[in-house]
Amino acid sequence: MSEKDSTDKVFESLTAWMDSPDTMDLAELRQVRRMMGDNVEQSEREFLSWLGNLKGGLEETAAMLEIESILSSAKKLGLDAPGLADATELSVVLVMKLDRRLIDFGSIPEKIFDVLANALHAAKALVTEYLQQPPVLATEARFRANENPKVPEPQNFFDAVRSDKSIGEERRVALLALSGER
Amino acid sequence: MDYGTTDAELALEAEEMKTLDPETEKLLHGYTEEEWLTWYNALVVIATRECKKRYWRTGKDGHLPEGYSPETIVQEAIARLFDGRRQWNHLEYPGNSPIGILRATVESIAGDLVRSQEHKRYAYLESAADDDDDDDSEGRAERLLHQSRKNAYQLSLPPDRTVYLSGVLSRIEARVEDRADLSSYLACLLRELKRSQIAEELKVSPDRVDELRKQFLARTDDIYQELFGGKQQAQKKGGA
Repeated sequence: MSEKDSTDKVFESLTAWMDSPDTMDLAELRQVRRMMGDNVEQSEREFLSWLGNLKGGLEETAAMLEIESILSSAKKLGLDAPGLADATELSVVLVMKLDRRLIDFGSIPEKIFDVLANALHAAKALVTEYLQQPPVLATEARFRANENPKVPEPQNFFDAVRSDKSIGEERRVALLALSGER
Repeated sequence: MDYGTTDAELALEAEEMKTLDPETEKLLHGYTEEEWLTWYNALVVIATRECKKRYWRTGKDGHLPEGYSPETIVQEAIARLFDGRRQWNHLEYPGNSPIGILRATVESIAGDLVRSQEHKRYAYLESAADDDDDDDSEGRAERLLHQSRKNAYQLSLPPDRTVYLSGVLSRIEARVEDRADLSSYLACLLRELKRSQIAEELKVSPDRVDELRKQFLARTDDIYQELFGGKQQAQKKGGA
């Protein structure tokens, strides 16, 4: 073993107790940091301020963009399409169709506005307003060059649920049961 | 009826929009201030050790590249988890605590920084030595100087540093020699045994190992303070 390796080894051995800081409580960790020459109080204050900005920044961004689109709002909250589908007990395909407003507004059960508003941390009125607008075209990249883009005709919500191959049976049954509540 | 976009295309597009998973997002926003402070301090301890290892390996202390410090390495690791650049695989790091995934991220960032700086230094010395093809005496002297610095970096540590570490070890051994349990604990550390292995070796519970660590550190606090430069920093702050 070279001298360098040996010195490495001695340092690592002498500090091996630092290898399991997850077994130390906050008081002991603070003591260890003081021993290392750190100003713990100042370091913690700066960290909490930084963490607050990190969390606040994400929430602020989400609030500002809350009705730009359902999926972009969800994304700002850390939810992708499957995450939003789980949070709302819909399916990825239904979530995407609602995002594009490919579902006939008049056929959407009241409960869907509630669950979307809840999942997006947005006012129900904003979600309702968003879903009332005209359908959105498919993204440009997916058009075929030899076809003119068409504005699709909105689909009935329950038809969409029935034809959805991606949804679990339990969720399908629960959603179809909402037809009696309208 | 043509809805313009097929269900399959919608599902594919949804997959492409992947970001921070909701489980992680929910966990990250649910921790208490005390939990965050505990993990923050634990991670700074880990990052500091990683950075200090570099000193004992290369003799280069002081600032890390790109303005990083142990604290900012920890912040970068947490930021990566928050914005989804680092995905929390809950099978690999189970449970509700993020300490496992954050520790791995801290070690990875610290390792990258150290490797990057060591590589730059090596590349600079190599290049300086190779490019310098002047045949005059000044050029030769410069080349020899570069070569000697390169060799110093590659091959050895100053003997005083090796001697110093041996001295630290001797002082720690002397500090605990009257306590058989603490001496045994130190012997386990020197064999690089982990907490659970120490418990097994000493035939005690893991909680008892934690207790031994506390007692060990209480006895050797000033020696470690010196090893980490804490004593000098405290003196500098006091003198400033």
